Amino acid sequence: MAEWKLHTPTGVCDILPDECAVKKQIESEIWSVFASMGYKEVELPTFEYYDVFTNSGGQISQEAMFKFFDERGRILTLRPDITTSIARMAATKEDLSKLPKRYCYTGNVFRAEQTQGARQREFTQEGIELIGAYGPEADAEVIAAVIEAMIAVGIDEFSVQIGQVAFFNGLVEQAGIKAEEVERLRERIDAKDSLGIRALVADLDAKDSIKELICRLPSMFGGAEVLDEADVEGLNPVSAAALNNIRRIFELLVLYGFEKYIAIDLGMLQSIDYYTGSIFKCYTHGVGFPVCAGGRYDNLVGNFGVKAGAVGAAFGINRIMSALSSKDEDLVHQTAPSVVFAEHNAEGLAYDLAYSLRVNGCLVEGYLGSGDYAECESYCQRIGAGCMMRVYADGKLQIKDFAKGEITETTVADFLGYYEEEECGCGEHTCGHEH
Amino acid sequence: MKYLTIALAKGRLAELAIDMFIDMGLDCSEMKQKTRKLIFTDEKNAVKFILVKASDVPTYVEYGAADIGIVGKDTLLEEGRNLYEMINLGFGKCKMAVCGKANMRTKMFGVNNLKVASKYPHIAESFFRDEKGQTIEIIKLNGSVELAPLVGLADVIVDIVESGKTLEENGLEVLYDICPLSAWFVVNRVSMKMYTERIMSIVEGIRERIGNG
Repeated sequence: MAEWKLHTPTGVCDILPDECAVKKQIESEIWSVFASMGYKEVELPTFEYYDVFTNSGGQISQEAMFKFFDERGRILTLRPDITTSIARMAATKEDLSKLPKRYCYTGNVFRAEQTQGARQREFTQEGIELIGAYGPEADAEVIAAVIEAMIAVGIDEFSVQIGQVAFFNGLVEQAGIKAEEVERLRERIDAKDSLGIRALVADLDAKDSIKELICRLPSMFGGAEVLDEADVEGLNPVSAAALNNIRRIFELLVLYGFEKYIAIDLGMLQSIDYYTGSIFKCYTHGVGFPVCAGGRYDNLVGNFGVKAGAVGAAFGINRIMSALSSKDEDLVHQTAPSVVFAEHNAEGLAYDLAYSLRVNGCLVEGYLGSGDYAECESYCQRIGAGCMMRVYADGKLQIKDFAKGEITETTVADFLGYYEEEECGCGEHTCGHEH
Repeated sequence: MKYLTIALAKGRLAELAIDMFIDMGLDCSEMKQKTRKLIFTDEKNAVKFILVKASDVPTYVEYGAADIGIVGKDTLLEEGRNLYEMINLGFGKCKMAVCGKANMRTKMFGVNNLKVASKYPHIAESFFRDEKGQTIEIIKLNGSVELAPLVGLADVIVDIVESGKTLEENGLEVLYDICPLSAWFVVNRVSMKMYTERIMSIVEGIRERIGNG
């Protein structure tokens, strides 16, 4: 029997300090973009009743969920997705008579993926949901937030591909394709397999223009010209409305100045089943998978009792980290700490000094070794400290600046400028006032 | 310019693909020599060719380690990876079929818990489950699958059939055709979006040569 206690299970991992610093920085940069657009942060439970997620399909189908039971035999599941939890929360806890609502979140999700490597079973998603806004402006706002966030984390070469599920749904409805065939067709279109599509469409009793359009879907990607190409005679109202919708979203994003980041892909269909309108994915160099995905889901909130349409997007933070790490740049500027060394009986004073510096924003470590001054100095060099502060019991302070190679002799009181603090006013420097 | 990486399935498919790429003006002639190298570079066109085991091609492409792959449909079906299956190249034609002793032809779809040996457990299982609604027992083998029905390890096998000679020599025959197979040109989803023009120009070049859409 292997020593399991020495390993982490397949698909989960530790995030060590250097990596974690990068991750937190990415999360906070994305969060700042979301917050500045009025998205309010929420936290949701890590596990929920399985029923919340049933029938989501696609990437979060039944077999992709980790399940367990509570003490009354009800099925619980580790959340495979946060959007669904937000839909539940909004419908059951929030006042949806006042719309729109903007939510953002950061949290880990869990999927029992069979594949190894880049597909982790636990990964961090950071995203937004805009509930109760139906116009293309809402979709454009969410896509704009994605673009702003990509730029904020320092990725400038990327592409957001925008599709429209309803356009395909309209075509399928018009062509009278049976439900079980639709899934096959969707899969073939998503794989850009034109021969497979032709075989499925050939025997349909539908207009030739519509059949031809379905066959051409895999190659319908690029700029706005794709939308003109899709605007054929005899589209049914569902497809026509969907096409107008994606055209307006595209126009708005061009007006916002994002033309170089966006493209249309009407053949993009693979996604989670709850999407009903626009869908989008963001790709960049260095990662073989989308780093962000989202879309419109007008029926999901309604599953929880209150009808409200919504649109949202989620970043895969771990994938953003891979994209950034492939750029070979120093991602986080690590601040060098100062180390405080207390001579005999100077422990209180040394702590006081460290505290004062910390509240002023400095990064200060106390020396924990049992060694003397010389050992502390070699410790400082080993960790790359900026300076060492040696505190004596009588208040003397010796500062060694490693960058400049200088030694300064002063006192703790002078260094902190005690006497200039007039509000103290006790006239003696042993007052022990709190600062 | 960043390199485009093309993963080729080692063996006959690679040889046929190399001829096709040379014909299109990509320089991979070095690959025709006997060598143990696994990676070849065409500096002029900024294209790298890598030689990998057939069943690994979809993995390289899905993860983006290769932008493009040339691989048999059998491997694509078995691996079920998330890729763009852009072009049926038409070469390397054969078929996936259920094979066994002649007396199984009428019996096999009625056997409870049919034992099926295969190198392709996913294809075998989804064929019997999704198309025939039959629950089967899969026996995963790695070679000489034809032996399984002869020594009583399995009732039938699911395997690639090219000429049918091996089957014939072992007293087996094709009982049911599952699907036709041939080599496919597959593309990573992100690469398609990040290098659209370069990849589409290769796609167009191939389509012109093989004359299909």
